[in-house]
Amino acid sequence: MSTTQTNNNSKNRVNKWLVVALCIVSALLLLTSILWLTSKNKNAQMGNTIENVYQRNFYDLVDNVNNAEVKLSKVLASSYDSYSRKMLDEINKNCNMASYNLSNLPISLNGIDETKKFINQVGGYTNSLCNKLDRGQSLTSAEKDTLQDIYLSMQTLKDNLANFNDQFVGQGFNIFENGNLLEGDYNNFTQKLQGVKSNDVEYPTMIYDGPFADNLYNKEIKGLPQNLVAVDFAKGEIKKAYQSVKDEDIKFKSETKSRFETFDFEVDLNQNIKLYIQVTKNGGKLLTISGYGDSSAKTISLGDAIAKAKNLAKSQTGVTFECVWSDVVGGDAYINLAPVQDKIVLYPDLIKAKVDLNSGEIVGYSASSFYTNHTQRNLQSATYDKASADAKIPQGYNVEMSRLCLAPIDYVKDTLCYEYKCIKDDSTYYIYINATNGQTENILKVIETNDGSKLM
Amino acid sequence: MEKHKKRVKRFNKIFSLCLVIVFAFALGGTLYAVNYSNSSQVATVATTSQNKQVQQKLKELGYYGGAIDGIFGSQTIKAVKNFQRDYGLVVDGIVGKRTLAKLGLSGSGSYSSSDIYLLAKCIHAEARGEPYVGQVAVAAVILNRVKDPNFPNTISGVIYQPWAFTAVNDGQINLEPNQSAYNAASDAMNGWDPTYGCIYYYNPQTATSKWIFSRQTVVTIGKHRFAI
Repeated sequence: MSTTQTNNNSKNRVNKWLVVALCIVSALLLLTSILWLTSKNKNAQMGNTIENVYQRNFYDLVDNVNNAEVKLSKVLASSYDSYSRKMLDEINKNCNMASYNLSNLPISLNGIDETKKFINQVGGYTNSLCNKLDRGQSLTSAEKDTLQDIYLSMQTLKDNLANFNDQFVGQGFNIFENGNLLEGDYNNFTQKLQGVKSNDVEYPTMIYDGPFADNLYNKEIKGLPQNLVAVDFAKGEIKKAYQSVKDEDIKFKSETKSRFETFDFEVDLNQNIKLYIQVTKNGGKLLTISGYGDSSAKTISLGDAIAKAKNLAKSQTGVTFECVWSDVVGGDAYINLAPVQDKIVLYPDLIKAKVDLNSGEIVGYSASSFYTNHTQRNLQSATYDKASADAKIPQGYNVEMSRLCLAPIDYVKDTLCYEYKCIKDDSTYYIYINATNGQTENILKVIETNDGSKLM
Repeated sequence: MEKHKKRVKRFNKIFSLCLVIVFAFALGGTLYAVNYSNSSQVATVATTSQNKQVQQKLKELGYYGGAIDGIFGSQTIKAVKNFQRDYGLVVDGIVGKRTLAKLGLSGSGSYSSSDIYLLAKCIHAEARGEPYVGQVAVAAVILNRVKDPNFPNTISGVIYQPWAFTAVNDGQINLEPNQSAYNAASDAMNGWDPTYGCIYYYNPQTATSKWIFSRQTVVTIGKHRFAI
């Protein structure tokens, strides 16, 4: 075979390999491209789906704000309580839906805070006015003035949303894409939404009994002593509560500066239990204990646990408590304690405790409600007689226990009530009848869950 | 022969280059697909809270305007009564089997389990590795937001609010929570709040928002600053 022939054969072999390699490469490239395009297509579909959800929420928001504005004008024009009530109820529904729509839009965490607050508060305020009309009372002129202010603010909000639609959403603005574009603290959608303001909105302050009211915040602390204590005193209080704990087991961690000011400690109670204890600077009182037991086995009874919780609460506050609720979840007993004054259970002054049923140690304690609300009260006696209140319990509900109590109603109002524990169809209910006017103020149902009993 | 060797060398070079390109494409495609699958998790829409289902359901139907807080107060009773009136039930404000059935809820459901599960998932995703009290504090912040007018009024609404939690955005929310997260969720649901009303928290080492540093710090627990 000549050299030329050998060279030709080699050349052919190389070319053949080259063609095979190129075919493999092309096939792989084609396959990868198809996969990539499919993924891209699916991603685009997903983007469109999310965009549609955002668009729907935006237009629902516009509708709900528009409807609330129109109904507010009708309330202002109405002189009939029944019609006003109907409109206020519908405004409440519109505001709830508007709040839901806002929370489903990709607004940066602190974006348009005032608008969100305004919408939620209008919902709460109109609901409280509905309750008032239900009780047979009429709207006062001050309430009508507040409704007028709300109406003007709602009008401005409506205009701002219309402008945003005209300038952006109605012009093909993609909420999904702009929600993903982050510039500084706000994404592009939030920036644009905040930027469109034909008029500055001034939102009125709303004082009412219900959720989201301005008066719910910064509640005065009534139950703490005035004297300030040092860190060592606070440590001493921990050692009094846990006598097995030594100095070296208590580590000062930090200070809390909220409406309660506390010294915060980490405490090694034993090998298995580590607690975080907050002690108030005012008076050196145990305010919160956070921790949990090892829940391996129960060595003490629920009754022992309740006694232990009562002792701690009494030693800390000087007040005698009754157990008003207890439940065992896993290896822990959850115990609610309330003081009793003039045979009236004071629910606003609740202390919560959690006891590890294995070690018998208190691994949870929360006295913030007690120190916020506790004061010596001049309690009125019941003016609605007990027999009439008994008659209000529906037939078929077997009363197991009844007593007088002070119950927090509508978030802020402490109301003197008759409390009834009733059983019906294997379910437990707590019914609260106002001890002044006989109205049913609250009904709680005990719900058995995997995580213990809950009151609903 | 020399020429042939050169050709084989050139072929090997081209072949290697092609392989590198193919692998790059394949790797890119795989990463893209993985990324896509994560983002589809992020897009998971919040399911309706099964816990406190009655309030949630009444709210959806437009009967209830308050917070989904599990308290069967006067607002809820009124909403139940209105619902019962509209659906031809005995108007007593008590949620019995018939009312539950009309609401589309069974009477034997465990009301609070799903809320605790959702809270535990968020705690685990956001604060695993933090001390126990730090986990309770994260749960308390979520519950404080439910009560705050600037935030959604349900636990699921707060957790799945767009841009609210990093661990929800990146899909870590779907990790299975451990026992510590469940305990912390349970404590917070029972009223423990070591932050006394905080509605924000952040890790100063990793936070990128300048705004969050302007919030008043109440307490630092573990790596998190809790603020109002």
